Amino acid sequence: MRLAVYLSSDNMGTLANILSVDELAIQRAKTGDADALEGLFRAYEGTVYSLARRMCRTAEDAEDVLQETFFEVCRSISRFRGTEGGSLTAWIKRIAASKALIRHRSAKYRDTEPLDDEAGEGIAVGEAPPDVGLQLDLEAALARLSDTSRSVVWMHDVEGYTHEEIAELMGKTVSFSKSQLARAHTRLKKMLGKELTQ
Amino acid sequence: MIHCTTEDLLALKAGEGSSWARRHHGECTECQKELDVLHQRVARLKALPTLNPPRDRWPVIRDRVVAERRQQRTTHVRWAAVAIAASLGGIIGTRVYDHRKMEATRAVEVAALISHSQELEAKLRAIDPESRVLTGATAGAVSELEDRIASIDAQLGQPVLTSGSPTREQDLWRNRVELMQGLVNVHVTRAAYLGM
Repeated sequence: MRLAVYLSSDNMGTLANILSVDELAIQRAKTGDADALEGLFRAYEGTVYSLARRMCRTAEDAEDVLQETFFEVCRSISRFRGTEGGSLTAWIKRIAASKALIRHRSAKYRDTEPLDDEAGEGIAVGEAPPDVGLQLDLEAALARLSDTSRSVVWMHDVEGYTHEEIAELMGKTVSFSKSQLARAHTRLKKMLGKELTQ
Repeated sequence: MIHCTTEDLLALKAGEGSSWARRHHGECTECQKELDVLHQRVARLKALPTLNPPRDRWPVIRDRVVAERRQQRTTHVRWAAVAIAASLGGIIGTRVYDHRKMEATRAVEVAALISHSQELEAKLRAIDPESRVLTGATAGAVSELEDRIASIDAQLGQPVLTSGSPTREQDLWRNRVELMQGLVNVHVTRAAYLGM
């Protein structure tokens, strides 16, 4: 049985990358086969890097998360119970999200969440504040959110995690996840200015 | 007029939302527009392009995995060696323990045989066989038993003969007890026959 894994789509809605991972490849990877493991990496590196890049502040952090995620995948794939590509995708994404959140929790990446919503938009230390009234594009606005808010909005709205799952991954409460999502959208709305409705 | 908050709109988007929020949303065009904007923002987030890592990270990951496996193998070999050494030690220890236990048991048995032999000697002395008259056949049997006991005593008096074989001493004492028992029986039977 061959299972298609849709890795990404561009803005035009066309499938940019369609790679496939079949059950045999997963079984080979489970035995530690180097070629099969590299095949997994090639199939999922874009997915994992995108997730990491959206959750982390810098490209270097995202690269480190990518590396840590696949190191963990190589080490733990033998314990992976599922055989379908879909569940493998979810499993790998969950590892990536967990690694990104661990990175956030580390002292170096302590969140710079402002206490007051009016005080700023979760600007990183040393980062210039956004110009008042500047209309940012969505990607730039997302980047200006705090690590926590950005991670919650990405995991919930794009990756489809429930608030319960996010709370479990973050070691927080469901209310925390919900309030972070609301704050993130309030800030995105402010930064994006007048969003077009169709 | 009070409008829906971002929390209200997110709850409505998720198909939840309070009854007030649902009712207000049904009546308020402004909040309907806000919810549409929220839906569109999420759709735009989902449509953001996939990003590719600037560098190929696989060689680093592969090398780390290989290094870890090598280290695990080394650790496994070390542990296996330790386990084998421990097993051998256990086997040797068990055998030494068994050997010592056997020797201790044997020493106890020899002590019991010596004690039994001494009891028979005392019993024989009580019968006082020297003062009794024996028939020729009985005297022959007694003489043979005494010769054999003397032979055993001679062997027991030479530690060189018994030190090489731990069971040898035990066998000699067992034989001596049997012969002594035979000698006592002969004298006791004779005394009973004569009614003395």
